[in-house]
Amino acid sequence: MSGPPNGHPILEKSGPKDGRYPEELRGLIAEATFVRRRVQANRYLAYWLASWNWILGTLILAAAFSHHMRGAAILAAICGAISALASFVLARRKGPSFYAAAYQLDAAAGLQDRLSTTVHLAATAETNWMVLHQRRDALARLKQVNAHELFPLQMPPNARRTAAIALVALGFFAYRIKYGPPVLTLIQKTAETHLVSAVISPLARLIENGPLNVLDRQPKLDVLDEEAAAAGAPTQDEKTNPSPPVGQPDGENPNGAGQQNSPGLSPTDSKDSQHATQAQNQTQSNGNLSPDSQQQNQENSTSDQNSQKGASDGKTPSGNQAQANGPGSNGGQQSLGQKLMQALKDMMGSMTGQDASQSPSQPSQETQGPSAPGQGGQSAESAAKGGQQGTLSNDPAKNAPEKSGQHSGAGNGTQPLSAKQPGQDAAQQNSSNLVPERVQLDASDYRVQTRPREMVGPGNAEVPLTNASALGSATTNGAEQENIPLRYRQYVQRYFDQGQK
Amino acid sequence: MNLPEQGAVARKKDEFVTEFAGTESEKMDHTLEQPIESLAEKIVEVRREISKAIVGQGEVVEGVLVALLAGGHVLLEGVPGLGKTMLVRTLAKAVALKYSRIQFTPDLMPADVIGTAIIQENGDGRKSLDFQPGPIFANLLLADEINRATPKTQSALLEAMQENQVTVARATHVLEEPFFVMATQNPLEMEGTYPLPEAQLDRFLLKLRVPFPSREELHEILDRTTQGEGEVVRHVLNGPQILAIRRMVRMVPVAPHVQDYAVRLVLATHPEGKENSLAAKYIRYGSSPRGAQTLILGGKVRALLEGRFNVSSEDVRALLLPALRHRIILNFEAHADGRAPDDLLQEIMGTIRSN
Repeated sequence: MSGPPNGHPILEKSGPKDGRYPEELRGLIAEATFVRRRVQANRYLAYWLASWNWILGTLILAAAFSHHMRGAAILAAICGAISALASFVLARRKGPSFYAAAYQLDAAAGLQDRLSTTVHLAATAETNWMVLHQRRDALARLKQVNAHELFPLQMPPNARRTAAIALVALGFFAYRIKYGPPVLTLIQKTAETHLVSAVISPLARLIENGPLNVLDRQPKLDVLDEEAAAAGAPTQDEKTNPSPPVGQPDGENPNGAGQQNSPGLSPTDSKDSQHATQAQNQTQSNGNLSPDSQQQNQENSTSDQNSQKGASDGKTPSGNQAQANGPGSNGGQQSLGQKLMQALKDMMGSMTGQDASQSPSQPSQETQGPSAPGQGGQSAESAAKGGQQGTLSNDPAKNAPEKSGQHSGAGNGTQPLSAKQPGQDAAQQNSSNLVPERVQLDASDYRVQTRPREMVGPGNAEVPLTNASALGSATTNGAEQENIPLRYRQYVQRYFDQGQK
Repeated sequence: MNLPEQGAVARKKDEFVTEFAGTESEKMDHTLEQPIESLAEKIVEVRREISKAIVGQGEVVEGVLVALLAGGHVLLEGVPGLGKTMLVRTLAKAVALKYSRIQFTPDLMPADVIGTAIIQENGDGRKSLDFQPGPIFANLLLADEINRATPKTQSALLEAMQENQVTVARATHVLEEPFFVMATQNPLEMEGTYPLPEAQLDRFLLKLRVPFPSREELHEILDRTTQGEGEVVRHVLNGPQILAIRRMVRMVPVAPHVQDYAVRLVLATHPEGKENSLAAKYIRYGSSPRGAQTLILGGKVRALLEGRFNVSSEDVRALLLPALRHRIILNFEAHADGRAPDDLLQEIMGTIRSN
């Protein structure tokens, strides 16, 4: 097919003005009409099958999800009827003209554009002896052409795909006679198992420790530094390098190190440390919970501590710490990652049948006794509010051990805390968890350094006159030609080779 | 019979009856057959006469006949000794035209081609300038090794090839019809050659490559040229008949989609067009509108030579290379990549066909 493609405007020329072709072209027009109808029929089949692909696909989805199969089948039948009508109208409207039909017959029969030229000349009513010759030649060749063989009624190329989709739809229907919607059943069964929590918990962990959370945390730390500097408190750089502990503890209880290293520790703070230890023990003893729920319990216990501090000692830096680390403690400005993580936690809690606010409180009540019941019943949201109420403390030496003790008890961070770890390492590790992204620069006074300015003035320039000639080696060994691309060298080589011939 | 179109048909009928049948009393149906059949017979005879002297080279002979009957000129390119000059001489004998030959050399001047005014003395002793026509005043001109002359001499052919006239000393002299130039040239890589300017190249309807003969053809050439004497070529066609065929050729109808195919092919050779990215990469200047004219006009001749009365897309494809290979100018990128015009045109034709 060297000519224009089907549907090209040049092939859709109109026929004669009166719509009637010459009488002697009756056979040619009849053949062109047959070709035209066959093309329309094949197009109709193609359009209709293509529409059935969509209809069957939709029917399969309905069978997978919907309970009402009778309505879907009736709707599919109606859509099939409408698509048949639309395909018929579309195929008839896009049917080839007589000229295009003759062109296709030329191409199929190898008549070298004889018929199409004849139809075109008949439409233009151009008559001279050459045109009459051409018409006679075309009609003579037309007798040797069997259009019925050249243009059979053929199935469209996507018929197999439609048949496959129809088989799948039939299979679904046969399944639905006895069973319900398979996808809905599968979703319900999946939701009842721990599969969902196993899939979602890594995602929640990723969001919690991901770059989104880090980016969200960074500017707050900077603000904290400025505020602390204004209030005379130690900056974050100082917090990352806390003063070493005075006395080394036994090492059995890492939280105890935080208590011993803080000389001015209040009774409330020691209670917090004990409460955190109890929460950790509770999460370790609760073996049947999923790891994610354990982490959730730890975080809830941390929230309990913060809320307790916010209620008892509003001047302790626990409120700031909750702002820095707690997800819901940023004065209502939660990041997207934090919101998503909270939503995932709620969803997992609802699926496992455990209340996120009650699960950490019950073990703490059992182990701690009278000091904890009223505090453990607080939810994570109330803990966040308590964290917001806290303000900065003016005693930096007091705040650092407090924070380290709280984090060790709450298990804040990604690394689980072990009982065998020394208290000093735990304190350093927890303190480094606060600002892991901050690295202190060795040379930070570069702005102070001034660039020495060179004075430029009039004078005499001395140019060396000796050794001014070019090096002979550069022109003799041809080293400069190595930078010429290979294709250009080949071109020049071919040029001289042809000249030598 | 009183319609004007039928009257025009009748006039055409009379004209061709006069040229080919020689009678005016034949019926219209018979006269419709007569010119076409006479044409086919004449063309077959010309081919037969040429084959007496030329072995093989079927495409070259067909291209020369297409150019002759379409009213154009032809450029033959090939290495020496392939029978280019022999072909032209044989054609001149077969068509009974006035034939002249110019051997182009570097010192050839334009006056040597078109003629000059010389002083002559009449019987009264008075002197006057008389124009002495050059060898260009012929029906069939062989410009042998045209690329060995300087561009100044080459350009002397420009006016003659396009307008069939020459101007010397403010006097215009019309050349006799039919005027057909067959130029031969060696490949440009040969030494001592001047490439033809683009304007001169565009005047040639076709550029034909003369291939080296095959083994069998070479045996046939040796048998003919080394044993006995060559056969005598007869006159089978004359000048008026050629002019009548030229008029008839222009009446061959062309379907719109065939003409559109030729137009798309020509447009695809232009680098600024969106038809083909290949042209944008390798072609500096695309074909002129003369290329499209050549495709259609040559297609008409080819259709008649094959006994058809309409131009088909195959005719256009068959003429694409000889019609456009000298009308596109490649850029440096194409030369560096070793691309030839024929390769690019083949690829362009494949691209357009796949539309």
